[in-house]
Amino acid sequence: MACIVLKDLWKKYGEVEAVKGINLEIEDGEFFSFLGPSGCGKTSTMRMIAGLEQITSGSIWFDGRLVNDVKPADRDVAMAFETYALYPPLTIRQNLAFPLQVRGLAQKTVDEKVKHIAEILRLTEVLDYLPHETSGGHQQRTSLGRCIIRTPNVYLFDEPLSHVDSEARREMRGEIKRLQKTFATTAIWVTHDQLEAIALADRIAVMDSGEFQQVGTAEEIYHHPRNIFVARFIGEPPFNILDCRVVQQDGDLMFRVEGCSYTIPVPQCLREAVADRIGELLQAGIRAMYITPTLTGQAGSHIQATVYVFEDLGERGVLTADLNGDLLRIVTTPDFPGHVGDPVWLTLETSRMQVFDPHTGMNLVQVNHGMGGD
Amino acid sequence: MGGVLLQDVTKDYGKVRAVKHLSLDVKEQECVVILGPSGAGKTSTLKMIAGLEEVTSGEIYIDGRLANYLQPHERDIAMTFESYALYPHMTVYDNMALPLRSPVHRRPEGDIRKRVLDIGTMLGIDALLDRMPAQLSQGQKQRVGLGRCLVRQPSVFLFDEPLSHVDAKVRHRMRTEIKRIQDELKTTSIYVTHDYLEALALGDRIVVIEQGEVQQIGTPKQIFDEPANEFVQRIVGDPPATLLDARIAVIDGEALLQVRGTSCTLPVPPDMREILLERHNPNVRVAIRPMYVTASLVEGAACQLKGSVYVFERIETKGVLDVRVGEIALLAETSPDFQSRPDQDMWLQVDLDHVRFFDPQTTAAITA
Repeated sequence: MACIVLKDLWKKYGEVEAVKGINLEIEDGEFFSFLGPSGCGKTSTMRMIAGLEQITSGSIWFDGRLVNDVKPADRDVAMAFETYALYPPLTIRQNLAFPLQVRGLAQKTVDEKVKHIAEILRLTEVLDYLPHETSGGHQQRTSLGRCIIRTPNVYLFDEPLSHVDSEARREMRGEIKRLQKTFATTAIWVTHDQLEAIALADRIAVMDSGEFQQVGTAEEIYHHPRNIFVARFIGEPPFNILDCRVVQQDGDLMFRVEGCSYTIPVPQCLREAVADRIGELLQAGIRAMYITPTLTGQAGSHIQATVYVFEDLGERGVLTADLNGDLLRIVTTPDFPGHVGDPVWLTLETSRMQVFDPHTGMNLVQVNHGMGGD
Repeated sequence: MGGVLLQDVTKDYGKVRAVKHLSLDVKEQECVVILGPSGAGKTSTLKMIAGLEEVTSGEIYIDGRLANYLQPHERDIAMTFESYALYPHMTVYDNMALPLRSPVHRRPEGDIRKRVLDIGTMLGIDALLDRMPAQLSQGQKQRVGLGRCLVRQPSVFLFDEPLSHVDAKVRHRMRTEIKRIQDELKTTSIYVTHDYLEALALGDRIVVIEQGEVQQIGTPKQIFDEPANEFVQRIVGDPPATLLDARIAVIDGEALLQVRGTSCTLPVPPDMREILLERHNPNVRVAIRPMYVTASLVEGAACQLKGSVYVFERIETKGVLDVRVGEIALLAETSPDFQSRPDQDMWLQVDLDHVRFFDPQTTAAITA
């Protein structure tokens, strides 16, 4: 078990800056996720922590010990990758047992642990097969099993479930989370899938272009995105963004939606942030679950849009509403009765709105959630 | 435009029977989604309709005409693929005009212009006709790809997993666009997917198939609320319903479900009592969707089961709690910020109105 600290960490491949001076403190026993699109630097960061990639500059610390020059084997990390890297001449059982045998554990203990891990990862039936005789999903689970079979300083997972089918993926995810919580081993999970990061991690670093866009809990990232990139990257249906100007109307501050006459009262929580931006173009956003649509309403008290499409998805409905050419996504009950072209009136839960500067992309209200030296 | 009728259609690849006696009546203007896992026979079915695969036995009628022996281009269908395959060196206009300039469908250039403009306007891409594909967004490319199929005014649209390799963000937006376009055009469509959300969103009716056999044909509502068997029950919903083995016992006149692997019982819903007792087989399978299970940290009067927390996951706007009751795992939907610790005691309440019953031998639904 270890606490991991990254200080001003850089990685350059020739001229390309893959990781640009990131700072982070991962607590002992924490489940931490690097989340971002491909090429954002998440895998490079993890490989530097593992010791598989040379650091260009900066430092990495395990429990207060500088590990920049410590070999991967001496860092006591266990890794599972998207690619399986199994030993082809060894059976699934022998592959799973390998990390324990090299550490000289008694055969009886090894057998027990292999049996337990095989049950958790549903590999019992294929234990005596060679890797190439099993499916890609089995091989990936074996790779994962080889990682979690022992208790290292830290688990490093790089998209370890990408080749597992969706139902099994959900089950494995649950088992890994349970295992991590039970043994409180520090874990780092690299993924491009926001669902996976939100489901597993205590905290998430959203990465793009080699930099942290935000570090925080799922709750913080979901409800208070630090910038437009994070707002758009997290959430399904996606975050709604409207171009607005702040205006004064009868002494009250209002957002006037660009291109139409609708105004939305500026909520208390945003007044201070927009007070000196009257007349400026801003981007106001709100998540799909904080808009309530009705088919009967009055012009004036609601925003009027038209039904672009309604989708009944069984457990919930998703309404896409057309507001002067901008499409807004709204989560509804599955039985919402709107049809294409129907007028629809929208009520926004304004206290849930976020406002961004269109030039910098930054949220006008910055909450400090401990950006690790940022 | 026209309908598509499949009568007792079978497809063999050597000794493997990919599609087994499939009968399906796709009505004019209807969108039917074929939903199933990979290898279920859905793409084989679509290819037979398109004329890209031969039918082993049975008949296919398109627009009332026997199509078994028609060449693909004689069938008056348009098939869109997963990738839009636009020509990068041609403008949107030329990409869309292309099918009308092909030797088979050759038309005068004036007619072509009118047709491309009409379809472009309908799809909302009339302002983009002079652009190159690289200057378009994903959604616009999708529309151009559809537009290129539409200029021919086919009787039937065939979609083969058009969104399967698009990333999740874009997929949602494109699904919305396809739904909207279908609503505008009302062209008869057959849409193949393994994604139940696409099926529920797009289909007027859904055909669930597995190992070449139809499991159920119904409206999205019927597929979701009244699945015909365990397979259909499991294929829609995320996380899927929990399936439990239970035994029906009458104790002091009250019909109870004894859940195997636990010491717990659940009352039999009153409207199911008669039919379940009349089966003269005490064993049933019980399906419970997570959305119909409520978890509570304290024991309430309505709680029926007690278990302990195995793991909790936040999934977007909801939480999913995996609770172990005896030897079984039951999933409950919660708020996303539900507070719990592993191994903590948890009380569960199952909404019995939404529990579904299945025969353990046939896996078919038992309904009142």
